[in-house]
Amino acid sequence: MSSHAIIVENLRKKYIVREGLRGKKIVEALRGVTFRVRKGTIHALLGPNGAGKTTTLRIISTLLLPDEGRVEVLGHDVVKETEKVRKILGVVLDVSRGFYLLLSGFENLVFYGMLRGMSIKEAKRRARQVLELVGLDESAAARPYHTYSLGMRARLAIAKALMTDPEVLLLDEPTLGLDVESARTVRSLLQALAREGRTILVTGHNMHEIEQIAHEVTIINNGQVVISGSIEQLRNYVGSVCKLCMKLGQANARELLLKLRDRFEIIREEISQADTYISVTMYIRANREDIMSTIFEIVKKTDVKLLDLSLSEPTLEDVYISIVRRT
Amino acid sequence: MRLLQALLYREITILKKRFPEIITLWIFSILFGLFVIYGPSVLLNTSVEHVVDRLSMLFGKKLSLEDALTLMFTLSAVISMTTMTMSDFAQQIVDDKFSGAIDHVLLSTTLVRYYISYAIALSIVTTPVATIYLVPLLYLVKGLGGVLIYAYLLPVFLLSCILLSLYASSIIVPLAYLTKIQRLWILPSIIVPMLLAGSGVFIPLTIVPLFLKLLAYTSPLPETCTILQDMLLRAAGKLALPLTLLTMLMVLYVLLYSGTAKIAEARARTQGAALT
Repeated sequence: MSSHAIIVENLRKKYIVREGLRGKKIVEALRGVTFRVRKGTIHALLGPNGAGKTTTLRIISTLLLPDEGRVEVLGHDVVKETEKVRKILGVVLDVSRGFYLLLSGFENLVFYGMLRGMSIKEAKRRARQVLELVGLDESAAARPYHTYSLGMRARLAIAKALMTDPEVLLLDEPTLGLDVESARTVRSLLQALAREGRTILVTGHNMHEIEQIAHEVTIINNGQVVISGSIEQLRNYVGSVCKLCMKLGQANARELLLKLRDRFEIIREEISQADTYISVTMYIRANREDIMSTIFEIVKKTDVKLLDLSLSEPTLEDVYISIVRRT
Repeated sequence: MRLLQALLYREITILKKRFPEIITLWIFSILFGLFVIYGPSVLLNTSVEHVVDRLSMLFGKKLSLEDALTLMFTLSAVISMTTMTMSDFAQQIVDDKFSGAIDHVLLSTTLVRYYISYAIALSIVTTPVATIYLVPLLYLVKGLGGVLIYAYLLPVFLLSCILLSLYASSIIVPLAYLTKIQRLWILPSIIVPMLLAGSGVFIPLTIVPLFLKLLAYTSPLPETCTILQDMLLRAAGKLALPLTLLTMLMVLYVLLYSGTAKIAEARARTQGAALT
């Protein structure tokens, strides 16, 4: 029995984009995507817009057919055993769409439940259960869908995915456009679902959020997987990179920066000037000790006023930007 | 069967919320029936009997005022049923595509099965809703006999509505999923008046211009009107031919729909179905 819930191997997909009446262009969305998602974990699929995340998710969900490659969900092939895969999958494709505007949240869920083969009684019972689970009360559930806020829509989309009590959840940007509180609710919900033993494959752009909830990450760019592994493995892949934040007095600050640039490999730097000080953020490929000793040495020699200093490990966002820029 | 039940649940739920629209549709249909008879009389300052005599000439049978009202109200129900079926079908496809709901539908069934089941569910719901106002009207015109007439006509309305839904599906589904047309709701507003004009709803089929008649014959409406007129004005013995034609049309629509919807399905599975 494999320890992986989702296995994606050498996935390729092309789209035909029609231009005008006769013209057409072929866009290669996926160029041999391969990664694995371990059972009972939250796995994040990251990448810039147009990288191929949604296409990958749509193929895993059985909505789209791949041109080449193989996808297995809990041992079932998504092309050959479509019905079996659909029974174990819950899918959120777009949190702000996918429901009928005139129907209420509850009615939408009952309809989708019946569509998945439930009797009306069973669908109503399950709809009440999942609505409670996602924190939508009865009065909210009875309102027409077009009156829902984005946060309520996101919760309803997750409720719909849970209607069939699936073992694997696929979520495409579940917190996109949500306010802070709604996003936090959705995050907690996903963590609670993972604790129940469900496998969750999620896409998103909010690195801070992904860092909080994901056990493993796959970064995809231009239709190809750049790296797949735990956040720690991603940090190691980038190498020993530290994030240095400093506030320096105006005098001799430039000299300090020049010396740092001479001494180390600077991956990225952001400098902003205030009235009395200069604020500097640098991503430096070196170990902490070397950086600290060098800074103090230069400060001593140049007499720069060091108003503030912090040295930290790069965040997932730093790692992500570094990886995507390299590719 | 579960798919049909799900669609019936959705249609009935939506219908309850659209009740004011349906009442408006009934009012316009009733006004049409009344205006055909009383309109000329008021506008041209002639008697109602004179208008009924002219109608008798057009339909080739001596009509009483009650007969004429029964016929006109019945034909008005064809108008409301056709309008509702065609526009609801187009609207549903637009909703499915724009809301992205079609993606979730396709996670449960195929495009072919979904829209053919929808055509049946729509007919089951639309037929009584679009024609039920005939019950009090025919009761007022013909007493209890009028109610019996409605019960007698209802199966014809249902058959016609199923055929109309299949007709709509064989036109609108390929247009929606194989072309870039997005404003599909325009389609019923162009097709429906032409079909109604060419089907003998406003004037008997014998004096309808050839072009309109040919266009209308692609739909089940001319045969439906013929059957309704025969049932109301003459003995029902002449129904064999129109019923045979309707059956042939049904087979044709199903074949046409199945073929085009399978191509649309293949496109949806390789290129995506919802508008993103």
